[in-house]
Amino acid sequence: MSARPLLLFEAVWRRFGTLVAVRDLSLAVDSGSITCLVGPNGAGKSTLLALAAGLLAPSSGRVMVGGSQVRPATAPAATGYLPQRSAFASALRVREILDFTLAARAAGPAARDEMLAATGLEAVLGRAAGTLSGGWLRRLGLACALVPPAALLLLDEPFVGLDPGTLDHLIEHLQQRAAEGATVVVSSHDFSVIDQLAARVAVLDEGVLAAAPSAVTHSRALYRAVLSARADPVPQTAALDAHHPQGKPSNRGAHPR
Amino acid sequence: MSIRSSHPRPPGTRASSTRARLLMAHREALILLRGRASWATLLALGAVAWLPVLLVPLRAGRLGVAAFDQVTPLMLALGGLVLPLVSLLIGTDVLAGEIEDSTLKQVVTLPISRDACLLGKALARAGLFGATYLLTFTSAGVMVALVQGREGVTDFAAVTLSGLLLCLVCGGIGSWLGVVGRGRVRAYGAALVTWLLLAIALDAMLLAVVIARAPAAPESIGRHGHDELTVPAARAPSHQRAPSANSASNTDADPHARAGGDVAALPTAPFPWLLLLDPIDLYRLSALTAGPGLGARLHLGLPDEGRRTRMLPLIVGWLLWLVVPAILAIHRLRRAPL
Repeated sequence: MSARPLLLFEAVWRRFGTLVAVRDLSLAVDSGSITCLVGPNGAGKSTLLALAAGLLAPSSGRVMVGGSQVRPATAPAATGYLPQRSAFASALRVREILDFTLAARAAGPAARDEMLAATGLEAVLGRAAGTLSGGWLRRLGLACALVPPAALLLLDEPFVGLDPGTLDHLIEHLQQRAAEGATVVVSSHDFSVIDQLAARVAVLDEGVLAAAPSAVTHSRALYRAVLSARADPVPQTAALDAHHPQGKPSNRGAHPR
Repeated sequence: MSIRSSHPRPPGTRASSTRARLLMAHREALILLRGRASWATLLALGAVAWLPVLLVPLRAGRLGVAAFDQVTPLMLALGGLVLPLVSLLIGTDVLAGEIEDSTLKQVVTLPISRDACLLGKALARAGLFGATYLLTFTSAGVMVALVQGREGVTDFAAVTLSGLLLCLVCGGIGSWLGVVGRGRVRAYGAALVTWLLLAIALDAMLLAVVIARAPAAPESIGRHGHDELTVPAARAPSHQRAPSANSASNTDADPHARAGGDVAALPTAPFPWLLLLDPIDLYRLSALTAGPGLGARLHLGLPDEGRRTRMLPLIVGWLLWLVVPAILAIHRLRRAPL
């Protein structure tokens, strides 16, 4: 694994009106790694991924991908992004959506076959997106996000709504992509899948990086320990150290600028 | 139809602007061709093109096809109201729906810039709308020419082409509103308000200014017994008449008016610069300038010798109205959170 960070957040703040979604967050994600963002609802996981994908601009601070600053006008070229809710123009057929994505990424027929194998979309290629169930839409969203050669995969809750077979395929695919050098950042609440992925886990809470990415075997225990430590800092420190030997809770940005 | 990758661009790099726009245009065309909005557009444009052709004979209690000299003035008036509304709504739909449905996220996170996204979509909309427009208006024109003869076809063509430009301008304004609106309801609301502003409020205000500042018209107005678009001096309220000094000098300077022209000499009034503030007035002036027979029939007294002079401000006006909303839309979309 390379030590050079592919994705870098530097003192990032993001506000939506009076709501502060991300507070003074700095985070480096190494190239070729799988990183899982965990945290309670509203912790800022989706906002962080949207910032990296160029869908949102930070209120202050910088987001860098591959050494270049991310700007909404031109999202990073080699990024695959899966939003929390997959949505496609309802009139378009699955085949057309996939072909559009492949053409935009200049990916060849091999990539198409790879995506179809990973997501099992072959069965619905001729159907309009508007007629697909939530599960199929999720698979289609994944197929579009995973189209090679995206070097940075930003996946927001990718495991929701998938059947066990597809889930196994996806885990295998993500591990393979990471082994090939792609950087994967996933937000999820599914701790068993996170453990299966052997990902580095970062904990977010109230827009703050509560625990920096680190390799853990029991992500749920880390998550609980970190949140407990934040709620009651003194007594939980020992428990946190036991689950999270490398990372430690970051300083909380208490006040928005 | 399918989109295939068939060129040697290295994978993972950003698509060239042209290629990205064409990809977006193709995607948009597929969406449009399967949507009900295309049929609604065909219906609305068909109404503007065909109703004048068919309704005028009905007034005389018979079925048939009206001649160009009857069709064109009616089409000019109807187009000034309906075309901006239709094209504003279509323009608004370019982005408002995709932003609200979050379907744009999937596109802008591909190696396609937001500029290319907007321009590609606009290209497809303009292309399909333009084709529908030309189909409906040309078919109406051909029918009139076949039944009633070709006299007045230049005026018809002038109204048709001016209307197409008006649609493109309003489509551009609509696409800007679609980004600014942040959601369908607000964007369509803004489009309706804009239409009311352009088609009624601003139009009436500018017309009032023009009439108020125009030189006094000769008393011969109305001698043809037709409906006039302008206010005859004899019947106009005193405050709408031009100041006497200006009036005298303008009339003196205008040979057409001196010779007892049909109406107030518009070229010496604030025309054309002030009227360029409203694209609907721009549409009317362009049609009247390019179709001299139409101006004469409406007794606007636009002399032939002034046509070239009037062309320049009209061209400048169209260019500004076409470019500025597009730039505003691109600028806003670049910074918009999606």
